[in-house]
Amino acid sequence: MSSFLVGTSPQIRAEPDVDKRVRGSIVRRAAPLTLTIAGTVLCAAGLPTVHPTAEGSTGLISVLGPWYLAGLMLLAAAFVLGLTIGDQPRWLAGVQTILMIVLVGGLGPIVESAPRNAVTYTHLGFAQYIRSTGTLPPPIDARSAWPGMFAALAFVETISGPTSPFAMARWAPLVLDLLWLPGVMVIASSIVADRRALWSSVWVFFIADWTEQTYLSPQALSFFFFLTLTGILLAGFGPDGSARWRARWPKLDSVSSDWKPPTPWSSGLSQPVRMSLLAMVVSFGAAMTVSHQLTPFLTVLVLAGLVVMGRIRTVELPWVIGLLAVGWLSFEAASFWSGHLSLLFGSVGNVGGNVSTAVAGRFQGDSGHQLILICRFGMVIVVVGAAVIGYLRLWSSGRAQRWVPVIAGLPVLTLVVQNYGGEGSIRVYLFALPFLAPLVASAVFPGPAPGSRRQASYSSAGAVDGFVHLPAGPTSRLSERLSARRLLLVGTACVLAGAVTIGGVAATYGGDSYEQVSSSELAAVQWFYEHVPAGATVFTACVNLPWRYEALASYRYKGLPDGHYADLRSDIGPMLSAGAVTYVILSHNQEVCGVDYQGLHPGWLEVLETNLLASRHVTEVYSAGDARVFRVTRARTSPDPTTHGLPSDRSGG
Amino acid sequence: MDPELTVPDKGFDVETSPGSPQRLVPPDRKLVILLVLLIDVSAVTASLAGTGGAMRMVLGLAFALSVPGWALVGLLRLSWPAAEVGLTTASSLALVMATAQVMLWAHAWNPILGQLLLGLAAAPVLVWQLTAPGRVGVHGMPKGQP
Repeated sequence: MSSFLVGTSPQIRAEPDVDKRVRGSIVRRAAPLTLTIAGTVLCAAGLPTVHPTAEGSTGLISVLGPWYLAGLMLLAAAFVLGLTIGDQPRWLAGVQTILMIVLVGGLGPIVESAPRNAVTYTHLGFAQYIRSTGTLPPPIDARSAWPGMFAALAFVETISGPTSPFAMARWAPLVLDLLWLPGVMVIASSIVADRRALWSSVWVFFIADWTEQTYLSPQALSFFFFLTLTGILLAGFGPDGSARWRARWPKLDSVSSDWKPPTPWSSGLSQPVRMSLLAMVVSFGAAMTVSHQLTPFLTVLVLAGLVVMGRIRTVELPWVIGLLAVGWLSFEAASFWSGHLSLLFGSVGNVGGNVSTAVAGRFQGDSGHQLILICRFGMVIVVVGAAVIGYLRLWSSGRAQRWVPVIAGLPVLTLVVQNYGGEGSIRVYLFALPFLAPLVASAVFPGPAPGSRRQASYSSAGAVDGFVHLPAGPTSRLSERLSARRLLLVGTACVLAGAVTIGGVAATYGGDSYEQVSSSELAAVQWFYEHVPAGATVFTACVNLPWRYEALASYRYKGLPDGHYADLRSDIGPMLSAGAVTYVILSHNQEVCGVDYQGLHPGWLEVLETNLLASRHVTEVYSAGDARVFRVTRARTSPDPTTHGLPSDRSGG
Repeated sequence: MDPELTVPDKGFDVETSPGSPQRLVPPDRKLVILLVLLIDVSAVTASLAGTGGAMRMVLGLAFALSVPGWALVGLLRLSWPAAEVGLTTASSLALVMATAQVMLWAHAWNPILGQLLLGLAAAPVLVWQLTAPGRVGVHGMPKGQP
């Protein structure tokens, strides 16, 4: 408010062009808020026109209309304007950020009526099993040995009443994004130099996070614990120079002793508060230990790095969380790994193979899907490149912290041990992003060098610097004239921010064509549960079927084995010889998954279905919309020799 | 603000509290505590009454995300909203997870009872936070931090 009043003070009114400046200041004050409202209204107006069922292989971006996209551009422009030339109230950046999260992270839940991602339904099934039996889930797969998140979900579902768990699963991506937000902010506040960089970090994190991990899953919840735990340790347990190892290894100490961020919060913490925070941090470590296989070990890696770099002083903490994780693996999860040692350690040291599986192995599917993969890969390159620039700018202004790039790079080490089912690279990127995003923001807002002339006015709210390098003090900026060069820079930044935000939407929802779930699929699966007795075997052609959300242990759920698309003629073999009571559920989304994701010929599922029916041992028992259920009436040991005319390879053109 | 209490360095303003601040609970904080207390009572009551619907779902979720955690984090009076929100939700979920896991291990699965116990444990702490003037947990906070 005070800066606004500067324009109307008698002293300034005496200047010749003060009226223009006052008008300019009003425009600059109003523009961010006005654009924010306009962008939100446009997005809201555009959402009803989005029909996910019509989307192509590039995912949701292919059906987002001009209103929604224009609204998103305006919101991004409002954010940039507010940080650069406007004088927005402090709360506006927060509101803009939450709006962005709702409109981008919540886009899927808003436009799709059923929870996205078939794996979500399996996780609901684990929780349903616990809810209905009051016991731990049976050893179906690795997830059974880490049931913490499923137990918590069953608890929450029960206390939330008899409402469909689907409602909770549908909105989980948005809730998880909002849960991640404070952790991302606290971590960023330990790295960046001002509020503009802080909010920009948050935007970069959520726009650049295309990893699709924000669904109802143990890894999403564990990552939330990771963010909170790491943020609190960085903010509250910073270096105090008293660690014994620092005196013992002075050389190492000199490596780690770079610029230290201000720690007014941690310096005010009393000892009982510190102990309480530490106890909470350990409980977060325990929570992720019982929920997810990988996250505790990545957390230990990051914490150990922070200890070695001298950034946190809780030397014991990596050991404590490491012992918890190893203890759980040795006792509670022994049933899993005792029979699957090769799964755990089979790829140790095979760095080339792991990287190849995690990166090159993902480049498959049709041209639209490959375009999305290129977009995602491009975003990684841009983020890493901008982070390097940001670090160099921080370095030149004397604010660089050497631990940041080291910690951002540490998760890559996990690829030495595991490719994590081909998802290793995704996890590496996700765990690096909270540390990369502040560096990216620092490329634009590095902050003034400590002790410089600009530093004196910098601590006042919203200094205009870093972006266009004008030596303006915070109290005069609204009354100053904007140069053409500066306007051009800010305009370019607005357009770029909008484009990057839309790029983020494209990358995040690039797999939506096969990750969305149709109501007819759900109806077919529900029919199966209501009409087929327990003990039956049920097949699907592609594993993106929303099944297993109930009766997790009562049926034998089978997808076709890996590599099954190599020869579709043999695909129906397992289905026909599976057992006495066998069902097959097929749907249009499986066709889409095969084409977009696996690179199969369009129409492959129809051929499969035709040959199933041609075997004369299969009867269609349910059909609704694009989903069908078949019953295998007599078990066979080999596919019908009369089937022919099938595509024999996976080349999708 | 007293200029002597401002430390304009390193990009942050620091509001320091003098030596031993025995201050009343600020109004905005009081509102948060009241809200959490309201969620606590409403969610437990709805569960015990066996009601259904969207409101019950929202209450159940809000309970699991805020009540047990704020009962602990609120005691610390950290004066940094971002850290408090993160700690509250994480502590709440960790406590819910621990309760659920212990019930499974003990073969005593009863989430409604678990919610009742958590709610009963949290309520007096919340009332105490509301009424007792206390020492602020953090003497200074980064003013520039949201």
